[in-house]
Amino acid sequence: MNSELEIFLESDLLEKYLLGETNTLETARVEHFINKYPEAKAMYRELENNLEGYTKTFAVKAPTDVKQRVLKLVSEETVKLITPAKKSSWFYVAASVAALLFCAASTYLFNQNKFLEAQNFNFATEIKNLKNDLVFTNANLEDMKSKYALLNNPETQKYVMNGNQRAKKLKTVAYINAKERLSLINVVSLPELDEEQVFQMWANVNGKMVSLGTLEKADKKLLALPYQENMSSYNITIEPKGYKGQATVENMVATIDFNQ
Amino acid sequence: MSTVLESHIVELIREKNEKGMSLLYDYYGDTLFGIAFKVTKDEDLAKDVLQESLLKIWNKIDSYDQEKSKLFTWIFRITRNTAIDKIRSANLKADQEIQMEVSNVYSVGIESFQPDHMDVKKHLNALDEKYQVVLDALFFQGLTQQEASEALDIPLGTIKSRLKIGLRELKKVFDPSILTILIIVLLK
Repeated sequence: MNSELEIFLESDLLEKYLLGETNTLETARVEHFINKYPEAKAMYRELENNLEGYTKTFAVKAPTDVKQRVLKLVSEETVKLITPAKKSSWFYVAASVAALLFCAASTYLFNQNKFLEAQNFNFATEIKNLKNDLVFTNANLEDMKSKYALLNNPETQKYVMNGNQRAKKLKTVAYINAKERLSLINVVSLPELDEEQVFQMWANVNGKMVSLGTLEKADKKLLALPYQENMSSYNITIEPKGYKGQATVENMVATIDFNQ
Repeated sequence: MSTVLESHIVELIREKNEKGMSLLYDYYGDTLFGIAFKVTKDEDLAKDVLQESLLKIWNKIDSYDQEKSKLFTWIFRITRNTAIDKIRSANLKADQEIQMEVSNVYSVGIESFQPDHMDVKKHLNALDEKYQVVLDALFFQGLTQQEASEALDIPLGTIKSRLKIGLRELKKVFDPSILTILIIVLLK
C-alpha cells in the first residue's frame, strides 16, 4: 500500500470526516484521498455503512404527530413558493411608501417654491422702493445744494420780514439773488388764522401787486418763490381762501422793501 | 435502503414534493428520532430536534452532494448537530453527567426498538465496551475527541484509536455475510 495512503488511513481523518467534524483544510485532504485512492473510498463507504447500522440500533418509533406537523409545514412552504405574488407584497408596500414620500416631497417643494417666489417679489419691490427713495433723496440733495449755493452766493441779499400788529408772530427771511433770478423764503413762524383765511404772498412789480401764492407753515424750510423782474417789494396779506382779487393795504401784515 | 430509493427521495425533496419528505420519514424517521433521543435524553426535546432536523433537510437539500456521501450520513450529521445545539441552548448539558453506560440504558421509558434491529443490537453488545463508550461519547454526547479524552480520562491517542477500531469492528456486526453466519450459529 502506498505509504501516503497508509498514513492517511491510520490517521483519524476519515472518522472525523464521517461525523462532519473536519475543518476546511482537513475536508479538502480527505476528499482528495477518497477521489484519488479506491481503497480510501471503500474504507469511507464501509464506515458510512457501519455508522448507519450502528445508529439504527438506537432507533425509536418516531411519533406520528411530528410527521403530520412537518408535512403541514413543508406543504405551506410549497404553497408559498407556488404563489410568489404574496412574497412580493413587500414590493407594493415599498412602492406605496415611495409614492407617498414622493407626493409629500412634491407638495413641500411646491409650497417652498411659492414661498420663495413671494419673497423674491417682495425683495424686488423693496429694491424698487429703495431706488425711488434714492432718486428722491438725490433730488432733495441737489435741491439743498442749489439752495445752499444760493445762500452762500455773495450776490444774494437777505431780508427779514416781521409781521405788524395784526400778525405779531409772523417772521420770515427772504433771500434774493437778482443776478441769478432766484428768490427763497424761510417761514420761521406764522400766527394762527381762522380756517377761512390764508396768508397771501405778493410781489410789487412796477407798482402793481402780483400774487405769488399762499404762504403755508413749512417748519423752517426754505421755499422757492417765483422771481419777478423789477420787483421792488414782497408783501404778505391776510385774505379769504380762494381770493382772486387785488391786494389791499388794509389786509397787509408784512412787507420787505428791496429799495431800502 | 437501496441507492435507488435514496436517489428517489432526494429527487422528490429537491422538487419540493411532500411525498419525498413522507418517504424520508418512513424510512429514516425512527433512526433519526432514536439519535435525537439518545443525545437529548428527553422525549419532548427529541421531538423538537426531529422536526427541526427534517425541516433543515427539506430546506438544505440542494447542499447535499450524493457523490460525497450517503444520504444517511448527511441526515445523521444534521440530526446529531441539531440535537447537540438543542441541549447546549437549553443549558442541559451542564446538568448532565456523562454517562458511559451502554446505550440501552437510555431507552428506558419509550423502549420500542425496531424488530429488524433487535438481533443486531444483541450482537452489538458483543462489541467490546471500551469501544462502545468512546463511540457513545463522540456520537451522542457531542464531545470532541479532546473533551472525550478529558471526560473519560483516556489519552487522546487512545480515543482516536478506539474510535477507528470501534467503527471498523462494527463491520463484523453489520457485514451481511458475517451477520448471517452469526444468526446461523445462534439458531443452532
